Amino acid sequence: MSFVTSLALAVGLLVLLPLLAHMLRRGKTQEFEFPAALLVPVQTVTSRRRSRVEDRVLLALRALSIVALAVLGATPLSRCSRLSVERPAGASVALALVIDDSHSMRSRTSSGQRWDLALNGAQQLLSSARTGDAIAIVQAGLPARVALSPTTDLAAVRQTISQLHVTDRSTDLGNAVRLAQSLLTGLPQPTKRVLVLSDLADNLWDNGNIAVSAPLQPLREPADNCAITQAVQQGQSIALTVACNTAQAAQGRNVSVASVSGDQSAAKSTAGAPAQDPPKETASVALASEGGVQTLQLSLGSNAPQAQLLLSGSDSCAEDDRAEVSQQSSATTVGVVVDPARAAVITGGATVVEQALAAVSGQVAVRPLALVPETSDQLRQFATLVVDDPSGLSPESRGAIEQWLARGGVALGLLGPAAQGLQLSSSLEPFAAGGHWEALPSPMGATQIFTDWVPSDQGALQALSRAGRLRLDGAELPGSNALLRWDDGVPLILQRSVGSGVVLTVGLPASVDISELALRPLFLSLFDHLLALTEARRGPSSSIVAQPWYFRADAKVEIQGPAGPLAPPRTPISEQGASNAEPDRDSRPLVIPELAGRYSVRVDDQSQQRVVSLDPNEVIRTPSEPPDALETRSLGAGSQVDISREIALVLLGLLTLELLARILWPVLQKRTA
Amino acid sequence: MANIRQARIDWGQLASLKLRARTVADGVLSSVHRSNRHGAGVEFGGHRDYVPGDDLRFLDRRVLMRHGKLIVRLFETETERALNLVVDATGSMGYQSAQAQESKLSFAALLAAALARVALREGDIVSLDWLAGERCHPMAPMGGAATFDRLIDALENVQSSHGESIDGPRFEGLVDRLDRRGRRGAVVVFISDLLDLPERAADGFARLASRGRVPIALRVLDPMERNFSFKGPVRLRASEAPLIVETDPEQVRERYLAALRASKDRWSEPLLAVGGQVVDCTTTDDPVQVLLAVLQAAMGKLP
Repeated sequence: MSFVTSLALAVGLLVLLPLLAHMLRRGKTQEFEFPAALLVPVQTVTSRRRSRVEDRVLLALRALSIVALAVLGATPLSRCSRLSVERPAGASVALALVIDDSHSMRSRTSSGQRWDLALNGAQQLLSSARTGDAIAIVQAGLPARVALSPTTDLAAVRQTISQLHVTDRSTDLGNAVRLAQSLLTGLPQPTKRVLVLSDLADNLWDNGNIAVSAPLQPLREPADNCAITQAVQQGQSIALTVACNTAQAAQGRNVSVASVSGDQSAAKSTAGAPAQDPPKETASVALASEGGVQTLQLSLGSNAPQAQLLLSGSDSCAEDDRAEVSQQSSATTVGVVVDPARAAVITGGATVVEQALAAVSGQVAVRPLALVPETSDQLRQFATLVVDDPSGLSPESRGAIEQWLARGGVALGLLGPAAQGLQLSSSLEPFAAGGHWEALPSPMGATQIFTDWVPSDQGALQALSRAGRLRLDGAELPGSNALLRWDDGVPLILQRSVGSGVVLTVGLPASVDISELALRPLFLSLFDHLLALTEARRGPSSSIVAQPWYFRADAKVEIQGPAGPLAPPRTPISEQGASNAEPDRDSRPLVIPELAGRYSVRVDDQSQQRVVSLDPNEVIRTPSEPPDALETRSLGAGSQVDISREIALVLLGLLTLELLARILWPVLQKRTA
Repeated sequence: MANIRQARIDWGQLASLKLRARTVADGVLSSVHRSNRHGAGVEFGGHRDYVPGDDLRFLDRRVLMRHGKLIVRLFETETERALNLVVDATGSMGYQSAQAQESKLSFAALLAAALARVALREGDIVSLDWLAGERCHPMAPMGGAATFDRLIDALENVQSSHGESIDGPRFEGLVDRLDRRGRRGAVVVFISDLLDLPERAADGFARLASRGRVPIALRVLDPMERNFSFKGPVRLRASEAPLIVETDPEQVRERYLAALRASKDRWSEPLLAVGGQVVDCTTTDDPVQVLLAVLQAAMGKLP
C-alpha cells in the first residue's frame, strides 16, 4: 500500500466531521424533573421524529459521500472480487474458456453448485471483454469438444454460454486444455489465455506455450459425494457398484432397491428429478465406511422388469443417489460354419473357433452350422457369423449375408486353402474378391500393424503361417482397410464396412494343421475384436456416459432419454473429437448419451432399453490445486477488478440525493404544516 | 435544577422561619383589621385520640384510668376562629427550579407559619396536618405563645416524600379527619401545588365548608411551572408518576398554560360554590401579598 493510498484512505476518517456537526447542531435532548409533566401535551413526539429523520438522512448521505470519496482516492487499491480479463499490454486478448460440464460439476459446495459458479464466472469474464477480444469455449466433459470456435462476436459467446448445460460425462480436462490451446494458436491477439473453470478433479495438463489458469477457487472446494455408478440385474439379484470420494460420504448410508412398474418410461426416471410415482423399497444393503469403489450384491424377492436403486442419506450431489438397474445383456448368438474335420483339435471336442469364442466371452451362444445360410431370415437370429475356410459362397448365401450385414451383422471369414477350388458361380464375397492360396517354403510372420487391438508382443506375430497363406493383395473389396499385413506387405486382416455391419477377412484358416493362427494370442484378440464390433452394432444394454451409440445411416431412430427425446443420430464431425481408432465408425451416425439413466431406443421396428451409468472415476476424484499454482495466480483472469468508475458514480448519486433532499425537504415540511 | 427526591425545606435560605414568619405576619397585621375576641365560652365538643402537643389539661383521666387510652376532651369556643392548616408535602412540593429561590414546600411552610402567627396573635387556635411527607408531625388545634414555636418545629422537620402516591381513599381520610376535628367557623387552608391529587380531591375538600367553615386552597407553584420557560427539546419526568414526556416547549407552551388554568378551575368551581376560594401564588411572589390574599379569601372577599 503506497503512501498516497494510505493518505486517501485516511480521508475516510473525515466521516466523523459530519457526525460531529450533526451532534452539535442537533444537541442532546435534556431531561428534567417536572411535577406538572402530566399537564404537558404529548403530541410533541411527532416533531422530534421529523427532526430525527431529516437529520439522519442528511448525515448518512454526507458520511457515505466522504467514504466514497476516500475509496475513490485509494483506487486502484480498492477493488471488488469478481472475475475479469486482465490485459497486461492493454491490448485485445484471446481467451479460451474451458468450461467443465462433467458430472462432478453438479456437486454443491458452500458457495453453491459448481456449475452455477462456473457459468457465473464465465459471464463475469464476458462482461469485462471488449471489442476485439477473441473468445473460444471448450467443454471439458469427455470427450473434450469445442462449443464455440474463437470469435470476436461477443453476442455469440453470450448465447453459447447461455445454452451450456451440465452433463454426467467424465472429465477430460487434459484434452480440453490442449484443444483450447490449439484454438488460440495463430490468433493475432498478443495476449492469449486459457481459463479453466473446473473443479480440477482431473488436472493433468501441461501449460504448453499458452498459459493456463484456473481462477475460481470456490470450484475446488471439497464436497463429499457418493453415487451408484452401475447396477446390473442378474436374475433375482442385483450387482451394483457404488463410488464414494471420501469415507465420510459413505458413512451410515445404504442402498435400497425400489421396484418400478414396467411401463414407466425412461423419461420418468430423469436423473436429478424424482420419479412422479415414488417407488416402493424392497431391499437394502449398507455401504462400507470407506472411500473408493465398492461392489455390492442385493437380492430381489421377484424379478422386477425395471428397477431403481436409491442411496439413503444426503451428500453434495443428490442427482446421482438414484440409479437405474440394467438387465444383463442376452447372450450373443454366433453362427459358426466350420468343418470339424479340419478345425477340430486332435483330442476331439469343440472346434478351436468355438473354444476361442467361449474363452473370450461367457455370454456367447455358439451355433455350429453345416452350411452358410441362404436366406436373411435364417441369419437374423445371429449377431455374428464366423466362416472358416469356406470353399466359396453361393449367390443365395452372398445375397443373404449382404442383407444381414447391412442391418448390422458382423461376419468373420477365415480363408484358407479351400478357396482354391471355387465352384461355379461361387465366390468369396463379401470377404474377398478372389485371392489364391500360396504355399510358403518357410513360415512367415506379420509385422505391419494398423490397429490397436492386435497384440504386438515380441514374437507374437512371428511365423504365423505354417503351410501357406491366402494372398489377399488384389482381392480387397472396395472400402477395405488392412489392419495387419504380412512381412512382405500382403494384407493378412482386412476390415470393411457394409451398411451397418462389418466384415473381417483373415488370410489364414483356423486349422492348426495349416497355420499357427489358432495357437497365437492374435486369435483370441481377433474374436475379442469381433465381439466388440458386434456389441457396438447391436447396442449395449448398459454403457458409460458419453460412450457413443452407432446406428445405420438409413435407420429410423427414436431415442427417449432421461431428459426427454434426443436429437436424431448425426454423423460426427467435431463431436467425435480427438481419437477414434475404429476407421469404420467415422462414417456412421451416432448419438452420445450425456446423462445417466434409462433410455428407450427404437431402431426401425425394434425397441430396446438401455441404461447409461456414471464413470466411477468421475465420482471418486477429488478437486485439486492447479499444477503450477504460481503461474495460475499471475496469469489469466484477475479476481480483482478496478471499481473506480462505480465508486465515482455512487459518489455522484449521493451528492445528487443530498441536493434533492435539501430542495425538497422544506417543501414537504410546508405541506405537512 | 431541583432535586425533588432529596428535597428538604431550605432552612438555610430561610435563616429563621420564625423571624420571617413574624415579619410576614406583622406586615399582614399592620394592614388588616384585627378580629374581635368574644371571650372563652366553653362547650363540650366530644373526644378524640391524643396527639403529641395536645394540652394535657384536656386529657380525660377517667378514660385513661379505665381503659388505658389517651383520649382528649374537646371544647369549642364560639368566639374563637380556628385555623386548620393542611400542608402538602408530597414529592412535587420539593421541586425547585433554577428560577426559584426556594422550593414550593419551603414557601408553603413560610406561608403556613405566617398564617399561624397571625391567627395566634388574634387569639385563635391553630392546627397542622400533613398530606404525605416524611418526618411530619401533625399538631392538634391549640393556641397560646408556645404553639407558634411547636408549629415552627414541625415545619422545620418535614421532608417531602418521594414516590408516595395520594389516592382517593387516602385523601378522603384526611378530609374526614379534618371534618371531625374542624370547629365551627374554622378556616381550613390547604397549601399545595394541587398536582398529582385524586380526581375528586377538590370536591372532597369542598365538603369541609360545612358548619360555617371556609375552605381555602392556596396553590403554590414554581416559576417554571407557572411560565413553562424551557428552551429546546426536553424530556420531562413527572415527580410522582412513571411518566416521561418529550416535547418542544415553544410549541406547547400555550396549551400547557391552558391546562394549568383548567386545573385551577377544577378546584375553584366547587370551592366558590361553598364560599371558599383558590389562591394562586408562586414561590417568587411576595409572601405578604399572598398572606393578604389568603386572609381576604378567609373573610369571603373575592380577589
